[in-house]
Amino acid sequence: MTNCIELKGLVKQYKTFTLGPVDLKVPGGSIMGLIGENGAGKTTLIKSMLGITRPTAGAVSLLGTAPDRAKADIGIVLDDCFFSEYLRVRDVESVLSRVFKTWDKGLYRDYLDKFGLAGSKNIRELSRGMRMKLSLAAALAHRPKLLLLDEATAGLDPVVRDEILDEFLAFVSDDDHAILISSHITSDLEKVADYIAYLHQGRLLLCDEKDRLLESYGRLVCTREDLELVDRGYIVAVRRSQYSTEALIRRKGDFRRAYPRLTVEPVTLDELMVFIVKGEQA
Amino acid sequence: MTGLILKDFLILRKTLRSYLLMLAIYVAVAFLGYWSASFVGGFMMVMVSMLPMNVFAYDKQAKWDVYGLSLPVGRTKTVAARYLAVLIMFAASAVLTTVVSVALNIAGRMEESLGEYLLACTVCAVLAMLVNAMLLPFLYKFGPERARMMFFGVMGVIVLLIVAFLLPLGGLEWIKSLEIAEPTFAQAAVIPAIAALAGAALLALSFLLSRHFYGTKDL
Repeated sequence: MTNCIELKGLVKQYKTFTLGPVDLKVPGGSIMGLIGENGAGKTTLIKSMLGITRPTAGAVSLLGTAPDRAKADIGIVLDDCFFSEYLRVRDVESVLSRVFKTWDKGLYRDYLDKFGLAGSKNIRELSRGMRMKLSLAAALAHRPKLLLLDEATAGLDPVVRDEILDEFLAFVSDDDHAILISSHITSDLEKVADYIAYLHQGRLLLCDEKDRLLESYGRLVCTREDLELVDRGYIVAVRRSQYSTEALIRRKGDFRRAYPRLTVEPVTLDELMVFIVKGEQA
Repeated sequence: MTGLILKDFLILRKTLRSYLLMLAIYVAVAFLGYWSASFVGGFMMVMVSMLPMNVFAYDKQAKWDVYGLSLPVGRTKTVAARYLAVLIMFAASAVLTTVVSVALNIAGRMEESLGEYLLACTVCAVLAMLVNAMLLPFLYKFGPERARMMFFGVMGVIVLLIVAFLLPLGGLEWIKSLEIAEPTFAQAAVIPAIAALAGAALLALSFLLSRHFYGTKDL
């Protein structure tokens, strides 16, 4: 299986923020979810991959080639709709069908129908959710091989989000296709992502198969006294409140065998993020 | 690239429509003889000069540049598309001005000769082209808001310099006292062509500068 995305030592340096170095591989036929708090560098990572912002260092390979060569096969949805409010929905097709040789008019209209978007509608009349749907239709209509999505499901109602997630799953049924999706709606990622990459303050803290990640980490709920007895090697971060003590632990299976008396619960991606950002590091 | 040119015209659709409406009113008033036909040519050139700034402002509002750079077009072609769009705007307004001028001339609503009038329009067009050739690299470098301020600043300075030059000589009276020979038909035909070439050369220079600014831009 070839990698649709390969990043080696990608760095983008600003005066007050540095992204990376990031090493990342997204194999064909898979979805990678990119998580992280606001300002962690998710959008910068996607922009750097595409050369929208120029990386300070590192190498980027998309679909086995340089980003500029791959752009014809990439669909992109960033965290906003980038089509002017002075355009109509059908104007997007007039413009992009001249940009992408593989533009499929029928497919674009199918998506418009599916998303309830009228071609004659002015973009300024569309809600944020409808604009995101328009961006998605535009990203998919030229039959890309790689989708780069930055908060693409934000502002959409659960029903439409579910439909779109099904589209994503169908999209990656082809082994030549892949998706990198950044999202704060981690439940969406838990549903569809094969891999999870966690960016925190510009650094890639975790990058692994989602199932392995969720299986290997766990949430320990115990007393302060119990926690003192636990080997520090298992503990990633601790959160203490007046009434409870919780710890994010690694190597969940080993931990359960070592401490059968203590209760370890499954951890969600949200909890994983909160522990790492807000917890006391062990 | 044609997609990007089309995009520029589509986002200007409403503006262009309102300009055409205003032009129709101005032409009608000129036909009725209430004001000089030269006003129409001047109006066209001022309006067409404002269009590129509008496109940049609309793009900025939509954050189009970020999306535009994700498209398989490349930075050089993106800038080239914008310059071609500007050239098309100028060409279209030149054709329209000529058509209107000829019509006003045939209707006998022109104080000046047609040659003299077209020559004046050409001077206006070259000035407008010069302004745009200066303005476009500013727009790429500083964005529409700051470039607009700089543009008006530069225009203000130019006007002040002209006034400072003319006042000691007697102002507009001095210009009126100049005896400028009416251009021959050949002059009226050749001068616009030379002026158009000079304008195109200026735009080419401006393009190289804009390409440099946009090529190094980090969005």
